[in-house]
Amino acid sequence: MMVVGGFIIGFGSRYAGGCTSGHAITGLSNLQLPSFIATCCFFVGGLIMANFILPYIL
Amino acid sequence: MKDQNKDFETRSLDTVCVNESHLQHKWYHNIKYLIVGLLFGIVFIKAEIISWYRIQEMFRFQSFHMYGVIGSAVIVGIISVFLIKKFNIKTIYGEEIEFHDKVFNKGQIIGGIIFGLGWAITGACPGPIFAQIGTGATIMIVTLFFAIVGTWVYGYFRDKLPH
Repeated sequence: MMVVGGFIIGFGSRYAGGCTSGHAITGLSNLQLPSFIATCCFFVGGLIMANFILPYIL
Repeated sequence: MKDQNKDFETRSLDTVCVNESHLQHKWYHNIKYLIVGLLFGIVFIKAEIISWYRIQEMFRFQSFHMYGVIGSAVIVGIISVFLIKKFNIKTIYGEEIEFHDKVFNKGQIIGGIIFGLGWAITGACPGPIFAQIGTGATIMIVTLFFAIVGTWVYGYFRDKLPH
């Protein structure tokens, strides 16, 4: 879990061009639409994992 | 020099503001970054945002905690950016602060979802990983290592991925 999770954190944050701090906090602070889209996608990914995938693998 | 330029361009795609200092300093000038970093880590731990359970709570809409933390960070951030732009505030060495507008690309959607999946599994995003290691969760060293592997793999396949 830590291996896969770590890998997709690194890969995803580079692909999206920022992580939680980069997009959600500084991006939204600068009122950037792409950052808002990225933040929404972070949440979509997180919601899918926490609600639909993690309950089955834990 | 050419390589350095390319690196700068790549970075300006990814960051909100590229404030590369062109001044040369002695090593002890870096201590202030250490202090800010230390404070940042302490705040992470005190705000409990490095907790896996807090992240799970957020995604299951069981607690307002993380929304409060992120929301207040964004509000403070908006005010700070507004003040920096309005009063044209300079860095500590009097250099100009530039903001770059983010350019939309498909990576923000695909990469965002991939990142979100990882965020919920490990309860970590790239900053808090370090704070988690510091609290004694040494297993996070594995996560950190593979996060770095992930960024490397991204860099390797960058040209082949849809953007």
